[in-house]
Amino acid sequence: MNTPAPLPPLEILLVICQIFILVYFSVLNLSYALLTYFGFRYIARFNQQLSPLMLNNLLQLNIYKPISLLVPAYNEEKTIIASVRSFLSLHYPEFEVIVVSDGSKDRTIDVLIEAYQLYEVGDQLPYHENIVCQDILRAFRSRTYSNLIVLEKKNGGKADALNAALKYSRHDLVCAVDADSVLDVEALVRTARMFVEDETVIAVGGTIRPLNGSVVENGQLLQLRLPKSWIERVQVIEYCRAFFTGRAGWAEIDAMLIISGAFGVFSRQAMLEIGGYNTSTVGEDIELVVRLHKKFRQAKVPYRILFCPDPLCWTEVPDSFRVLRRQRNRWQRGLFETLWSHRDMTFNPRYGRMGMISMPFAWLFDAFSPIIEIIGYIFIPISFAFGILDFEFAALFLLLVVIYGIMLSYMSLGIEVMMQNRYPRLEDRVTLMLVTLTEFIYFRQILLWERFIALFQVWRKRGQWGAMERKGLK
Amino acid sequence: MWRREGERAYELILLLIVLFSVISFFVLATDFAMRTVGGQSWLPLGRSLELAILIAGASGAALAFYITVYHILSLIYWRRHQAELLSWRVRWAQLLVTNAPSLPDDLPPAAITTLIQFMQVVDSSANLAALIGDKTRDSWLRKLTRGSTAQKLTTLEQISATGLNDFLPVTLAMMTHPASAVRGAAAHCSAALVGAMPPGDARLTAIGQFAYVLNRSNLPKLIFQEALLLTKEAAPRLIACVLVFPHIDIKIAQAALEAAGRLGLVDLAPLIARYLKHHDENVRCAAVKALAQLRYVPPRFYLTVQLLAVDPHIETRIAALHALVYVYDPVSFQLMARAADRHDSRWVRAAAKELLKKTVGGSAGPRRAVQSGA
Repeated sequence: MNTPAPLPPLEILLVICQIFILVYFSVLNLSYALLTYFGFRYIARFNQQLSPLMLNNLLQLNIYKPISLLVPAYNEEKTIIASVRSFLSLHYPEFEVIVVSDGSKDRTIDVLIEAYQLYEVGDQLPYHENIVCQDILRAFRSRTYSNLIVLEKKNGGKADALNAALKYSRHDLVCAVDADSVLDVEALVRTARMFVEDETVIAVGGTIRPLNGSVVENGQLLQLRLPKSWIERVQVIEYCRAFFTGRAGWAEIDAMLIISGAFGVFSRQAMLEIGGYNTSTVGEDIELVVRLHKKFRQAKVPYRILFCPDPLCWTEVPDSFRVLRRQRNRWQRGLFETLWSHRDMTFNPRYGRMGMISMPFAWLFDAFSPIIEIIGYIFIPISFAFGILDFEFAALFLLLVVIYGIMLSYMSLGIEVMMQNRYPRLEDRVTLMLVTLTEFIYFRQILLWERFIALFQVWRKRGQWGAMERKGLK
Repeated sequence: MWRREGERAYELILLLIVLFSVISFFVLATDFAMRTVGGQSWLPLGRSLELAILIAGASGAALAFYITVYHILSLIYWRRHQAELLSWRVRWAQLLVTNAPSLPDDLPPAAITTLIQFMQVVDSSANLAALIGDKTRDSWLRKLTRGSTAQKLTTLEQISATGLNDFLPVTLAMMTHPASAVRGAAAHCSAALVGAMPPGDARLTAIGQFAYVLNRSNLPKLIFQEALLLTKEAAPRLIACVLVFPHIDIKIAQAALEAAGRLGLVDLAPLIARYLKHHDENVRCAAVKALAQLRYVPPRFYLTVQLLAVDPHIETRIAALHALVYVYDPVSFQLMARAADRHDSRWVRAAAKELLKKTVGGSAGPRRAVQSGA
């Protein structure tokens, strides 16, 4: 009987790599499929809970938790007037808007002073002393809107600006929003309701959707349209996946790791207890949520962090690869910085599902995925050269990767059709399905490479944002 | 209905995709591992991979087909549903005017929806409520007892819109349901039914029963408050009933105190003031806040409110400062002035300054008391 000759060490290594990549791919895709299923269940249950009719009846009773909107702004002179107008026109019985100009070098403060008739209030405003931020240079109130406060401070980054706003917030709930975002008029109503119905809720993340191509008037979204360019359309699908598969899926198993910085509502008390945002990371949104989990788990206080599937916030997404790469680079660094600084939570049963499922998943399938995928791309020709990989097999495997990715996107798009139906025209649906087919050709590889590079820039670029160019709402 | 069916089908599709994916990836990984370590596989080379591709491709195609078909069918269904709603609106209008058209025994959902809409705008709601009760009683009871959570929630909402108070025993029983969403909806519904009852002994009995169950329903504070306020004219009696309970839930005590303040129930001030010395800081705070909202502090509780102005709980201190405006005693003004000058919390200081600004030169209590005392 012939026994096969033993393989040389390099080939053994390649074989092990092959098996690892295959298992990695299988587990990753199965997890995404499972998360989509969980996400669907979460959204279906959410939709059954409270009808709009009943919600309106209850709102007439005027029972609510007042909210402070925290709006950090840096060089936003083009968009700030429309954004603040959109925030001030939200349907909610009691809220205040705190805009913080974080050392803007353009006319952000000047345009606000003119548009909202601001006057300086000196040091009259009370504040929470345990929140630290860069010096506040001037504080303003508005003659036309009693619920508008504007702060001008030294530049300290987005997290520092959010801390400044948090420091001056008066209400039980605080809502962090990006200055360039447009909120749905019912955004606060829907999210604040989740705090009313369950007193253990400490944070609620909302669904963010791309705004590009839509018609916005007076800071309100009038008509949702698909963006014109391919790169923006691909991001519509990405956001569908991120929110209906990612956020909703994790929320279903009570292990949500991220609340988007563009829109999130938090219990002010919980925020004050953890000292507000961490200013040393560019991923202040994910870091905040991880720290909230950590704090409440350690204190053994029952708490919940939820996701609101209603489309609450519309944001301008990058329309060029240059800006998109910069954004994804920052996201990847923010994720890695957070996971690294809270690495003690990983595989730590003290932190429950967060420690045992969410954190390991984020390490393996989000933080390190660029390295593994890039190795996979490099590995195929090498294995082929060594004759340990069948060409047909490699080609079929790549085909499987693409088809499975498309299928996962369709699963998320299906949830959008069933539950949200925000693109009512059939041609929009068909367009999105066709765009999904092309996502894997160029878009994915470019972003993969950027995320790969970002991993090597984590320490060198710690805390650096990079400029985001705004076109301004049309 | 259509939407729910569509969701169920989609959930099944997703579940099947997950199951098939598990099978195909397991076969693929096992086959590949056996082959690469030199063992024998039970499948020819690449067959497991072809199977995985086939399953993924078929799943993707099925999803694309389902999404497109669902989109088209739901559009057709939506148009048909709108037509059905319109036709039922016409039938209800005819019924109101001429009492002519006969109705089927089992009303479809569109009929109930339009009837409830009618009841919200048309005056003769009692007749319509009786009609809807006759036609749907059995179906509603079935849904409340054996239906899914979604059905229970919808039915409770429909019952509360009709104000059919013979459902009250059932809705009260549902206020102790294990699902908090159902408990909350049952509390809202029961409150609406109690609120729709005419004054009399029956309403008094219902208020007592509702208060008793409410105290055991373990709902969030604001849901309690919503339930109290939804009882409309019955709210003062209900709140008084809740506040005299010997073993009252802390959350419902807060809710009742806040509701009393919000509704301006001055008659309940002595009852509210009894909670000023409650061991729970949030209850103390709610009580003093309610008195401030009522703009009245019973004289025998002046000292208690003044003591709360130095309470360790900051929110209570701020609420007490607001109530001090109605404590006609020179000490009140001194306490306010002291809080404005050198108090530890900036929030208390800001509140005191604001109140002093309002009271100086105005007609409010402490300033007037100081002036008259001087």
